[in-house]
Amino acid sequence: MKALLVSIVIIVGIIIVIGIATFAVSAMSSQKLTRQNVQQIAQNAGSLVAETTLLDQQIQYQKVTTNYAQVYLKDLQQQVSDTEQQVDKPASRDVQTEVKEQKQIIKQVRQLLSQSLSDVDSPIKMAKNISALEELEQKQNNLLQSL
Amino acid sequence: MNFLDIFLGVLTAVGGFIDISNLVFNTQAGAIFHYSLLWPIVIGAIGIALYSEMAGRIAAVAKKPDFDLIRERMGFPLGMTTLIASLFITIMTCAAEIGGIAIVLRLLSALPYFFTILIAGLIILLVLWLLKFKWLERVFGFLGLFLLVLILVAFNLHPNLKLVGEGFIPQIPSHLSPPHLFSYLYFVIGVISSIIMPYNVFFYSSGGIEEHWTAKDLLTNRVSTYVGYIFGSVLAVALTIIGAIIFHPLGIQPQLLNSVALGSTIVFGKIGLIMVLLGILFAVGGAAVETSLAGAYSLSQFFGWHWGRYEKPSKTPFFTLTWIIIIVIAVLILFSGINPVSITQYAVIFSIVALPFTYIPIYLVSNDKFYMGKYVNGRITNTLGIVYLIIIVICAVTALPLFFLSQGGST
Repeated sequence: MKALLVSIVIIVGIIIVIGIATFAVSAMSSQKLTRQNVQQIAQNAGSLVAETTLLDQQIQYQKVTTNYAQVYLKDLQQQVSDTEQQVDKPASRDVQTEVKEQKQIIKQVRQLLSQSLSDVDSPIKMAKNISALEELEQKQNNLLQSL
Repeated sequence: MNFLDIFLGVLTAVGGFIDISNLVFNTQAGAIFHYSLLWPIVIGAIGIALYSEMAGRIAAVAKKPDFDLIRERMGFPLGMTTLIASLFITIMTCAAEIGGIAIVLRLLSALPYFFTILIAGLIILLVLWLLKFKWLERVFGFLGLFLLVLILVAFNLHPNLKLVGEGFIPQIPSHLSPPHLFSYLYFVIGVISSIIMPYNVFFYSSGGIEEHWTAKDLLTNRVSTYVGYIFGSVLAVALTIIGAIIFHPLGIQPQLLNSVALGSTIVFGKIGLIMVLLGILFAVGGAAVETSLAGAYSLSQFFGWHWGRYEKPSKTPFFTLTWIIIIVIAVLILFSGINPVSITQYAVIFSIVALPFTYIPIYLVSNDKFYMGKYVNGRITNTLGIVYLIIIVICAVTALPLFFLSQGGST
């Protein structure tokens, strides 16, 4: 009985620690976006743009199956939406321009992902998406450097 | 000495080496830190081989499974704490593995995710109900060998062997800023922990008892663990190389299991994709079976219930009910919408915290002449055993602070 109680106390302790940590992280993330937050978001966004480009290239060269391509693109859409939510918060004054630009880039990525989903079977249309994505990658790199 | 048994044991260990945590951590490690996280793979591989060999030897000579030892050596209170922590981690890991099966089924079929979770759970239940222990281990182990394609992919990407070699030297890159340093250290612990997760040892030693090992099987035990796990770790190295060559230069930090297969499509196209997806399917399927059984073994051994997959389910009611409940809970966790990759990250980090309590009794008993007679640890095994206990304790103490400081490695 004593052992069971000790075990329960330890498990409850672990859960409380996780809860406090999660609360602290969410409390921090609900504050205004700082330069460091924006840098991290921009890195994630850059990673997503690059990953989408790489996937679209494989789709264009027909190296992946249609099912895999469609599911992967949908998962990337979900990740882009998550990133969009992160950037959709009030930002501190010194990074407002960058946040605005980041929002625009994310919006364009979202549109290009939708376009890729409808062009999965068309290598020619996919080539257009890839060049648009490569332009976005360049914009994203410039944004990252300015941060 | 049965060479066929040894050969099959090695193949099973190679095929069963990789689970969802290795797929996630090693690919991300290569993508973010290039080759500088190859050395923790070696540390993890030697550690799991060392302690699995000890646990297998104890099973063969003293006929004692892990949780029997834990209760005997630690007493009921601390043993119970270890059991609860271990079950918690095992269920989380089982959920992550079943989630991995669901993700692969979805990538292959484009069926809705929640439907594939249900199918994955049912497949594991059915397979566990129908297959005998030896077949469970071998079917998943052999079919997991599809993942060997990753080694071919890594070679075809022509890695710079000098840089790869340098990655095996223990290091902390000097150019890292404090947040990146925390992230690097978090990955060091993540990579080691993903290899030496406790369920591997529970499953392995319980398997030895299921298969009625005796002292005659000690050579098979030694070769299967050392050769099998060390060769298996080559797959983890291949994942890191693929991450380093394909994702690192593009600044991609892969967050999805889908990304793991992308590397082989670049080299081998659709055939490479299908082979990797099948390899992942059987590797994570095998791990789902192992985790659900490991949970049931732990609980049954601790409370002295009759257990074993060689018996009919009706003869081991509590044991059977436990693995069924573990799978059902795992499926329910996935239905809550939590991403299996996130569950994996939590499971890996929390498992290292509980690991010392699992490994210390194994070390003590494998060194005890009363149980082991002439089969006690040799000098080298003893020294390495102590070194690994120190490494595990350091990892256990630093795991949670690093997890929070690095925000789960995302800084």
